[in-house]
Amino acid sequence: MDLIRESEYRWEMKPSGAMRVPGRIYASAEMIDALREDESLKQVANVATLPGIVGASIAMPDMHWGYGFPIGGVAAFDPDEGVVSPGGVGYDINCGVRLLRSEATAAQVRDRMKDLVVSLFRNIPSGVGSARRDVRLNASQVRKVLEQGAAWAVSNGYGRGEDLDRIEAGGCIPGPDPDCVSARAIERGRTQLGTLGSGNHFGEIQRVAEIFDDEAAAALGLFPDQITVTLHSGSRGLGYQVCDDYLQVMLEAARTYGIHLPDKQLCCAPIKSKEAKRYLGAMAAAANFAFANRQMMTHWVRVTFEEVLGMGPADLGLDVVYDVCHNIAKFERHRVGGVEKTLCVHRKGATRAFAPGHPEVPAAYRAVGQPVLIPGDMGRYSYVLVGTEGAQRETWGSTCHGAGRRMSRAAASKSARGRPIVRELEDRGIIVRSEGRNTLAEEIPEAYKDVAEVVDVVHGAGIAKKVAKLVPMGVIKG
Amino acid sequence: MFPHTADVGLEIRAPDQETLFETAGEALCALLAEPGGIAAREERRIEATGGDREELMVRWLSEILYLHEAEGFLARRFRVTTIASDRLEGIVAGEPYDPGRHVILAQIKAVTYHQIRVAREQDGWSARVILDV
Repeated sequence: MDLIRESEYRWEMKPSGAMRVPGRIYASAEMIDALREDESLKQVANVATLPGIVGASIAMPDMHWGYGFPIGGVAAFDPDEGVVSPGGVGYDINCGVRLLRSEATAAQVRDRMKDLVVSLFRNIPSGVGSARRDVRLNASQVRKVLEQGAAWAVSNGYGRGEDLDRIEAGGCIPGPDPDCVSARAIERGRTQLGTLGSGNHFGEIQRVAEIFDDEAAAALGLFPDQITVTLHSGSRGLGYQVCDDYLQVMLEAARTYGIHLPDKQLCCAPIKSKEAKRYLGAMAAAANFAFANRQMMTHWVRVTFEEVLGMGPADLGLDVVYDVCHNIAKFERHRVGGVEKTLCVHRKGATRAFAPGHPEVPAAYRAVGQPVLIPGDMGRYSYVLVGTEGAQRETWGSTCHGAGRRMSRAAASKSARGRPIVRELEDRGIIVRSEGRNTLAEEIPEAYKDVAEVVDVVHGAGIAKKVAKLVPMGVIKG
Repeated sequence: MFPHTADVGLEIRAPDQETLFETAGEALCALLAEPGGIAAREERRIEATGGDREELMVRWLSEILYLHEAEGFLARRFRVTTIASDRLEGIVAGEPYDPGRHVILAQIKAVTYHQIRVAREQDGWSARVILDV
């Protein structure tokens, strides 16, 4: 694959074969060398062949070999000539990250960390088949969740009204259509609302270890040594089922509309088609389920801290800093060749990063840009960034989403075999609780790339700006 | 099993199509739960349709995964009763999950179409499937 280095962190893949637009990859020279060893660059080229793609098939520095689209991919499509692809969103629709900021400092809670983690692990159902006994929804209640998103959770006692202003899209993607969500998807979601899930999903208690930008940190309410909490979860089985259902629909649609697919997982339909409209209605519904899911867990984080520390909500804070989606397709206004246009932007393992002044950035953050939340692995650190003009100009207002795996799950398990992972982390000052037998082994810190390198690339390329570094103190995993 | 940075892949070889699909089902379920304690005492019928054998493979495995996710049904034995290029019928036998006797190993989000391959070889059939975990 021929790549031209356009600047220190930006590489261009010239169109070849059926590619309609170039590929553009944000990475360091070392990352590019590693990327050449798997199939992710080919996946960038495959996405560039899809009808109606605008500008470039973009990949972020945390990109890795996904299925169909690379993970870490961004692609925008013209609403008249373009397509929508469930594989360009992913199975975990609206997988995303939420950050809460407390008024407490690390020194205040350090001695209680074990109690906090144990209690958090009890209050937030984690892992396969877990659910809270007090959350039992029937199918008609699930439909309300799909229509209202995070607002459903707030009106049912989970959290505060002001939380909604600090969530991407206000915690409700427009246009949800529960009639486009299968009975199977609703059945899978019914028992999983308010659960963390397994794999790379987590809840983490952290401290602010470093501030890079005083003005932005102040706007986001972050200060040194402050306790924060990050939640990483998505739409659970409901989203997976929606994706699976519509991949079947789109395979048929691609045949109907004569769309050539270099990989079946890229199956798609013209945005104007009935198949695409139904998918977008179901996708919005699943995304809203994910917003409600993170909202409910936010409530349980607050309850946990209040119980364990014996402090009231006013003293604890635990306000929402922000909540971002990193698996989603959205209609947004962007400038194309100097003209503002509506595009359907697919972000699969990529985070929206709108610039200062953008009307969709909450008023409190409008001067500094939209908060961008980038989790790392459970042993090192995570980052808070803000969106930039550079992202607006070059990447449809998008940036990276995480560290990206370095080792396969099998390789990580092998490397962790016989090692006391919980104690290893405890020796580093991190209390961990996990449900699944294999999860901790598969999620060992060294299974991931160093997220600092990823963040340095997006910061250096100007498609996001570093604000703060968060270091884990307590982690729950599924 | 072969590694994939985000996921897990299955590579299966079998003398005939029926065995290929049956073995793929067995491999999927061995990742989900320890097969040891699962008794084949209840049956579930599976029907799948698809544009070709590759789509059929994804559908067949997705149906088994759905039984696991929605009903907590752990399958142990797999039998394909009818197979054509676009349609498959089969029966799986197993039992509902019992936390006292069964060990769940992992959650699998989905069976993907990414680089799916089902092919006739000189000496039988082979398949490659990537799972999203």
